[in-house]
Parts: sequence; C-alpha cells; structure tokens
Amino acid sequence: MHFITSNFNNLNTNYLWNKLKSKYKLSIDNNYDNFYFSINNDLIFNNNQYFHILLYCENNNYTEIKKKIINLVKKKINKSLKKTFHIYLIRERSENLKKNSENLKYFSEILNNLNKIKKENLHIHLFENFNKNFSNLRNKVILKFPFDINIIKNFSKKIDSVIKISISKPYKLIILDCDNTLWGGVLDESKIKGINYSGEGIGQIFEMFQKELKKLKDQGFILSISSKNNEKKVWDAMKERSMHLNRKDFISPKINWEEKQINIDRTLKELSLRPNDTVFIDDNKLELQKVKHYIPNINTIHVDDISKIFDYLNNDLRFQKIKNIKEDKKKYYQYKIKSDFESLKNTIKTSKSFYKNLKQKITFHNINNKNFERCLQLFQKTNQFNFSLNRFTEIQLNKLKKNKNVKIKLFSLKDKFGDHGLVGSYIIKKDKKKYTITDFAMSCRILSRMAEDYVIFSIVKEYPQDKIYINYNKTNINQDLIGRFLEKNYFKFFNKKKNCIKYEIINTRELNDTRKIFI
Amino acid sequence: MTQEKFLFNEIKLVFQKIIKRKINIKNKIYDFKEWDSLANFNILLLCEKKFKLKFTTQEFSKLNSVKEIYNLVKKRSKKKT
Repeated sequence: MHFITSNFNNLNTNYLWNKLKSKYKLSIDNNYDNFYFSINNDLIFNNNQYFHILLYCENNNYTEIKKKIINLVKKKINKSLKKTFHIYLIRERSENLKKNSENLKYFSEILNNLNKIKKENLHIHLFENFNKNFSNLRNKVILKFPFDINIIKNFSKKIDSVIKISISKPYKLIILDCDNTLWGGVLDESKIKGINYSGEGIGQIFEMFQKELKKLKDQGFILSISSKNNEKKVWDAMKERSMHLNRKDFISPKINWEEKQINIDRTLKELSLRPNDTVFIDDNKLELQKVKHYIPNINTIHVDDISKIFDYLNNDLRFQKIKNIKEDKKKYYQYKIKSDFESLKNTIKTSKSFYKNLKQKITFHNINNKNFERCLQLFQKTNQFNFSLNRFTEIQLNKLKKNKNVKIKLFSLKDKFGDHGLVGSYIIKKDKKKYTITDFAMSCRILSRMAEDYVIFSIVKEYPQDKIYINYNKTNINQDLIGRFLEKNYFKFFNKKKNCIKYEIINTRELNDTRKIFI
Repeated sequence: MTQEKFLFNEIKLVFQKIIKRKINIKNKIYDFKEWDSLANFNILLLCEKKFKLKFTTQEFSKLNSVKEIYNLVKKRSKKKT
C-alpha cells in the first residue's frame, strides 16, 4: 500500500488524483499539513509499505521542515528499513534573484543534512517549477494548496514513475558489442590508436558511456561482451587507452568470430540467466535482428547514434534500481565464481569426485531481521527454480514468519572459489505429523552442483519419522529445471489439484549419498 | 435547448463528478454529506477548468450554493460571448 502525505492540503478528493488511485492501492492523507503526524501514527504506519511525502519549501518554512524531517528520519525512517520513503522536495523558483539565492541556500542545507543521516530506504526527489503557472496565491490562502490545480497532474505523474521503478524488474545482464558501442570506429581497421575514445569530439561520449556502465556494474548489473573481434586486441585496447572498463569488469565475455547468437546463448547458459533479464546493445541492426530471431525474448538496444544512448538508459526503467541491497553489490563477484565454476566443469568430466573437490558447504539460517529482505527478494525474483512462484509481499511474509506452524529457512553456500552468500530459501508447513514444503526457491547461479538435492536431504533428515511432501505449481517459467529435478527417484507423485502437483519425498539411498558430496 | 439550460446541465455534470449526486438549483453547501468545504473547492476548481474562467479570491471563498455558482458562470460566459 502506498500513502501520500504532504505539508499542504493535498486535496485528496480532487478528481485529478483519480488516475493514480485507480492504478495502485493507495491512500492520500486527508488532513492538511499532516505528514509529521501521519508517519508517526501507528495505524497509518503499519498499514502502508511505501510513503510519499510531498514537501513544499518556501523561505519562511525551511527551518520547520528541516526540523521535522530530520526528526522523522532519526526516529522513524532509519529504524524501519523494511518500509520505503520517498520525499519530494518542491521548490519554487523566484524571478527575484536575491530571493532565489536565499531559497537555494536553505534548500541545499536541507539536502545536505538529509544526505548525512539517511539510509537506503529513503529516496529524495526534487521538484522544481519551471513554468509560470506553478504557484497560485489564491489557492494557497484559501485552500492551503499553494499551486495551480493542474500541478496535481505533475505530482501524480512523478509518483507514478517512482512507483513504476520500484515494481519494475531491473535487467540482470548487459551484453555489449565493442566497435562503435564501447568505442568509436572499428578496432581491426583503425588499430588501437585510431579508435575514438576520450579526447576531443565524439570519443568523449564513449568515455561517458563506459563510465555509466561502470556505475551500473557497481549497482549489481552484470556486464558481458559479445563481439566479433580479436580478443587479445580488445583487452590491449582497453589497457593502452586506459578505458574506464577493463577485462576484470566483464563476466564470460565472448570475443571471437563466431555468430553472436551462439555466443550469447552460451553466456546465458553459463550464467543460468533468462533472455528476458538480458539486454544486448549493438550498433549493427542486422546482428540485433539475427540475435532476436534466435533468442526471441532477449531485449535489444540499437545504438545508431551513440549520443542517444543516454536517452535509452534514462528512459528504460529496467536500468534503474531503487533498492540496492548488499546482496546485489556482491552479485558481480558471485557470477564471476559461477563463470569460473562452469569453465572448470567443462574441462573435468562431471562426477561425484568433481563435486567433492569443490569443497561445498551449505549452512542453514532461520529467518531474521537481517536476512528478511534477501528472503523476500529470493521469492520475488527467482523464476526458473521456484516451486510455487508465490511473489510474497513484505506483509505476507511477515505474517508467515509469525505463524507457529510455518518455518521459513534460508541457506548459504560456500565452495573453494568463494562465498556465494544466501542463495535459497524454503517454507515448510506443519499439519499434524505431515510436513509440506510449500515454497522452495533457489538462485539459478548455483544450480547443477547438487545443492538442491542436499537441501531436500537435510529436510528429510530433520524430520525422520514424518511424511514430507513438496508442492509444485507448474508454469512455463519453472517447468524446465524443476521438471528435470523431480524426475529423481526420491520424488513420488502424490496428487494433483489444478496446477499444483504434490510429490512425496522418499528417503532413498541416492538421496542419502548427497551427504557425501558436501562438507 | 436554450443556452441557459445547457449551462445548467453542464454544472449538474460537475456536481455529479465531484459529489456523485443529482442537484437542483436550490441546493447549497452541506445539503449532502459529500458536499463539504473541500468538495466545494473541488467543484469550483473543476468549473474554472470546464468553463475556462477564473474566480477571484473573494468569489472563491463566497460561492456556496448552486444558484450562486450558476449565476456567476452565466454572467462570465455572457461577457465572453
């Protein structure tokens, strides 16, 4: 639920809010200048997940606003990291230069103070007037609404875009071409010194683009390359021209003379990612069409003019992440391990000794406040290896957490290449002496190393006397990997209700053997 | 339909949209629980938009009945034509 509040009368019943109201579950504060009390009101606070606070700043109310927000941030916002807050600071630009600079001074003071103390769950948006019909003194005096009525449209547009970003699924993988994408010109023809990168002219844009990609990488997006080029020359070019991106920034790059769709397909398989979550950026329309033909669900961006690239990046919501949780930042490192693992797997024939050599260790954790966010993310984002595809909201998961007959567990994996972090979660429900695994989601980064088998084994071991079942909601998204997994001899078909298939788990020798693979 | 009747129908539609009620010329603010002060302002703001006019600050705080609104809108639109 979204809650909109402000430090003015937000005309909650006005019809201009209707579009937003019909789109989302939201309520608008019906009291005037009530944001401080609304957020502090337990009923409102507990019933909502996202808070949008519109603050109109004028010269005589800055101090009051500053005090109130800082107080709110310290006492409420920083302490409830599971809720998200958006503060929209609305500043009126005055034609009077003196007033304007005074106004700016106060405004930056608020921003500075907020930036010092805020945490990840608070986002600040600026809202400046640039047209003449922004403020309206009559409305301000009589209605306590200091703007022209049509400004509500702008507010709702802004809030709409913020909500859209927070519910859109960001891309996971960005695959790039080299020539005329990461730099200008063709490396094979122009040689290293001849390509356009930094310096004067168009090269600057390529440099800016690489800088932006590096930022995206730091936010948890994975970068990869698919380019028809000479691999050594590409890495040399990056090194010699001291580019922002270098070899270490890319995961399973494919630089060779093979067809791009084959290379991309391989990269996706190596990283166990879906084409849906991938975007391919190239300057050659034919290549893009070919890739799209063979991998229909992949997203593509055609860079015919590099100066337009920032339009694409800014307008596509999937390049934006509102929440950067720690796990996301670790992702790059984890995919790197995954790619190392795949290359090792290809060289050695897969066998039990191979798995044993990996020195894998799985640790189980009960759900707690620290890993709650990650658990939520696992159920919301995992597709291919997610038995139920239940997209829990925070409120739903919290309810389950409090239920005594339900156990929510997470597990983490370590191996000789490094720490993969929290990679999966399951929910088990008790009904008399029967236990049912209602939900089981595991990141596909760590598939095909028997971890899923080991988790099932551990559950069976935990309840040796009782019957254990697992529910599976079959859909197009999760049928491949789970279908194959359920063919193993420790699953026995039990019953089927609509799309939900129930399997009984039997403790077979094969299941017991998985114990030997793990430390 | 005369122009006056047409105008009144349009005002009726404004009320319909804001307070979801059918009104007659005698109605005034607080006649229905939906027509409170905030709804009154919303009605006036929608009238401004629909009839492309602006009420002055004084008018804005005084207009409280269907009759007053209708008369003022009629007066203003006559001026325009």
